[in-house]
Amino acid sequence: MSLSGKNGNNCASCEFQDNISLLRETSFFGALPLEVLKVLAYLCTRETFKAGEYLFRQGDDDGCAIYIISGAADLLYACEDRPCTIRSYGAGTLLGSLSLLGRMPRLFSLEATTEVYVLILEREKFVKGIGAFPETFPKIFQSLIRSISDWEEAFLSGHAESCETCIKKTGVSVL
Amino acid sequence: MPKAQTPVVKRTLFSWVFAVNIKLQILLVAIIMLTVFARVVPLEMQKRIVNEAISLRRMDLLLRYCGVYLVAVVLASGLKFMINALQTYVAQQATAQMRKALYHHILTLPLSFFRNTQPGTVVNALVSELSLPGNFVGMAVAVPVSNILTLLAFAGYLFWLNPLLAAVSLSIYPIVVFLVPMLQKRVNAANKKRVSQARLLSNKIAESVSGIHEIQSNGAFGIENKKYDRLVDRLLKTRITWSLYRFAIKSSNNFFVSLGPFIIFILGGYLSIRGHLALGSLVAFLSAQEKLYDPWKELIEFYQVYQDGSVNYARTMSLFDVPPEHVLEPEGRAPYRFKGRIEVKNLSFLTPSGIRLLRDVSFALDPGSQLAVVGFSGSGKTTLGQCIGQLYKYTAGSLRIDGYEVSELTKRDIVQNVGFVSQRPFIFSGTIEENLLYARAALISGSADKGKEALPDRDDRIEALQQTGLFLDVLRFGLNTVLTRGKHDDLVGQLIQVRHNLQRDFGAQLAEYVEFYEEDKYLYHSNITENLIFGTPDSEDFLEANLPRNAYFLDFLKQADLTRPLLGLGAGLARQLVDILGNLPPDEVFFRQSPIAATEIEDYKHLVARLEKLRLHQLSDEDHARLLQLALRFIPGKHKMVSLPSLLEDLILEGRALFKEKVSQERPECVTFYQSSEYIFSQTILNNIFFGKMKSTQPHAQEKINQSIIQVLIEEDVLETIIEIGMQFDVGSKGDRLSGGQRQKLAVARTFLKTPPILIMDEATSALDNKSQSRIQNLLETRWKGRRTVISIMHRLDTIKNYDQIIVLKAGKIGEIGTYDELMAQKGMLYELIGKKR
Repeated sequence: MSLSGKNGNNCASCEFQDNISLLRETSFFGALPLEVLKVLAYLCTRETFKAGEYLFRQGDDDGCAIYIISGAADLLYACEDRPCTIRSYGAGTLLGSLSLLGRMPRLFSLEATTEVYVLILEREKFVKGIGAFPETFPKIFQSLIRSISDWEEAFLSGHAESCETCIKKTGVSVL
Repeated sequence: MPKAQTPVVKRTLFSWVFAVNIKLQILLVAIIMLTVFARVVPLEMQKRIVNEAISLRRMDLLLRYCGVYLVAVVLASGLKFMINALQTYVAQQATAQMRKALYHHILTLPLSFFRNTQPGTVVNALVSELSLPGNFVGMAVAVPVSNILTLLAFAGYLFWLNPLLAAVSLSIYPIVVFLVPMLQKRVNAANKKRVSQARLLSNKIAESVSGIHEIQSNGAFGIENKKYDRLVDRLLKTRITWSLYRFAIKSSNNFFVSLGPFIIFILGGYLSIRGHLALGSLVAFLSAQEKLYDPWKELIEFYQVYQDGSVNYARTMSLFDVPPEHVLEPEGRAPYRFKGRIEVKNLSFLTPSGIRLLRDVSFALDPGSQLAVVGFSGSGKTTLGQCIGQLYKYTAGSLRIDGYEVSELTKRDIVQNVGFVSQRPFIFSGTIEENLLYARAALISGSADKGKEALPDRDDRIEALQQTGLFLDVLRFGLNTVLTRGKHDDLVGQLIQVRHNLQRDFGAQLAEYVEFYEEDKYLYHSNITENLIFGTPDSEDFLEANLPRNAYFLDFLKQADLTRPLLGLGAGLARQLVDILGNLPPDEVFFRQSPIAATEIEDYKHLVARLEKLRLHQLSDEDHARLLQLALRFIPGKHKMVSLPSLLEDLILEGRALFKEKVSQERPECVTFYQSSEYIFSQTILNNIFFGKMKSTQPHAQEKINQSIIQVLIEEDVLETIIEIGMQFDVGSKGDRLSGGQRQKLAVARTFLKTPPILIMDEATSALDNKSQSRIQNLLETRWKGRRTVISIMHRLDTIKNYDQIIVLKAGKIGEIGTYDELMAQKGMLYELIGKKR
């Protein structure tokens, strides 16, 4: 297995190589063997969204994981009458890894606030890509469990102690 | 109406023998009789040639007997050929009939059967397992009849010549008849053992390969070798035993058969010396004895085919010996036409393993009313839908449609009245249109008055596409079609007009999403061929696939200094792609972003292996052509595994100008260069109306351009034509060229076109975007309400407000039933479910 091809294959800094590096930086994909990452990096595509465009919309099941390479986007939730901004994301964020694993309508919308350049991996590609390496399933589950647990731990230590309503709503990791 | 007959799985193997074609079998027997006669004649002629012609030195007799001999031999060979031909025909027909009958039976088996059966088992049964039984059917008459008759004829002839000698020389056969089956039993046992040991060995090898890390890191070579060697030794022993028994059969058979001449020589010689047997008779005896061997051998082989064939047949048929749960066709009446009243009383469903999926479910629906069934996964929602749709047979209680008990209705009654859209609808290979008409066409093909019912017309089809939101997808398929020259002349003119209008009205707006064809710019979303030729090939040898072997083009590449850089690019691509894709299954998803097709990857694997050992210039011309092919397909905007060196980009642009100049002068008939006034037949309709290519295939980019495209298509009145072309899109095997959402929309559309009085939607819109879901929901609430009974099994709860009734299922029981407002006021389970969802 070679990462950068030999004998001058024109890929010292091609998109495919960069995609591998980007995926390795994320906690969800980082633990996967290089052989699998290579396939996933190959299957990713890159897209640009202009400010005001939606990367995904609440209620839709677009089935994509999105890694923000540059730019910023807001996570929105349709409150009773208007969209509420939950938080903003910038470069280096991976969103939607859960929706790679199975059907799930988005509970939030993601709107570009500047021009956003993203790496997109679709569920179908992910499922088939991973399907070719069944031995990686345990690692995927482990990454998933770790993400959920890390998220809740950060939430507990960051907010929950100071907010009584919040602490009563915690417990996603004991599902 | 088909008459009641024995189900295929209950038929004996012998029942096929005369079922295929009784006339053929009779003809076969007649030919066999003739053959047997033709086989005995030469023996008699032999005798006469020796006894009469030669002993009496009569030339005329010699010629006459030899003539008869020759005719008999020619006749026997010709007849034998006919027997074989007929036998093969019967065997193939029997196999085909068995395959058809079994397949027809399998399709009607209850769903529970398929839950426990691997598709591979069914495939294997239908494809391979039935060949041997089929062969047996082909042989069943011809082989035993012809061989036994031949044996009897020869034996009779021998007795006629000399009863004593005949009795003694034939006495060996009963011994063989006793011995062969005995040995065969041992062969079978050893064979069984051999198969299971070979399987153990395969498992062991697979285990070692997958656990090689562990073996090497522990240095456990000794342990593993010992385990493996033991298995190999065991297999070795079994194989030897198996082979020895097989040879024993052969040898003992040969031995006893060769004993024949020995007996004839000793006894026949004695009788001949004593003057009790003429020399001619002795010769005839020897020949007959020798000729006994062939029919005998064929009988033994037939015995083996019978053994194996009947085992295969019995095993295959018993596998599928499950009765269908429902009668297929009504007898003596037309299928019912229901209004759609549904009454369910104490309905229960118990799986064969005793798990209760539904328990005492009761409710009633008036015709035209709408019911939403909600609850957690596993609460029995789908099972309830499937019981109503007669896909599963409920085990207790009552379920009536318009007063008729569903379990007693025929499949045809249900098909006629119920439309069922499942969570994961199945799409068959074929076009969008074929799938769209699937339910309706099935309904018509099974209907008694086929002639009167017509398939939906174009407007109905388009309406169904619009209702389900599939319209835009089909438009996209239409736009992505490459038109055939001469087939759509009118359309081509209109499309050129569309191109001008689009450029005029939306050119600036589209520039962001489309790379327009400009003669002095590199096209990053087109491949290198398109960048170089910048036109449509008009002659066969300038087609992309033929360019790497087109001497004129290769010469041009050399002249443009492009040969080496392109070969280098091809080599880089091949290495990278083989590295990424080399060990992946040949799935379309993996090869969508690759210039190498799934079918070519093996060739490129070998090529890359050669590249490891050889320099580029040392490769063969064929390898160069392959690398060039790859480079010419390279699209920098799509194939991201390598990048396009800027030097090569400049060379290609220079090359484009050179190519145009050269070809315009030397071979103007070969290429039509891109012009905004000409249709490009090598490209899709979309590329033609853009006069360029889209930079992105992402939905958000498509949404942006859809509106403008539709507007200009309507202006030129070609929208519906494009939709019709789009409906011819081939959806691929199992619809794998469609997205999950598209498959669901297509499934809903095909059921809508069927317009059944009862519609069951089992989370039928779960993979759709919000807009499409709401569109379908609105349709149900406006067009269907009051006219058709709708049962929606829902996972999402935001669209259930307007249903007439809502059932909340919990662990197979109805937890709550009522209208949305009632249940919300009650603050029970639905209230809680919606709260949880929030």
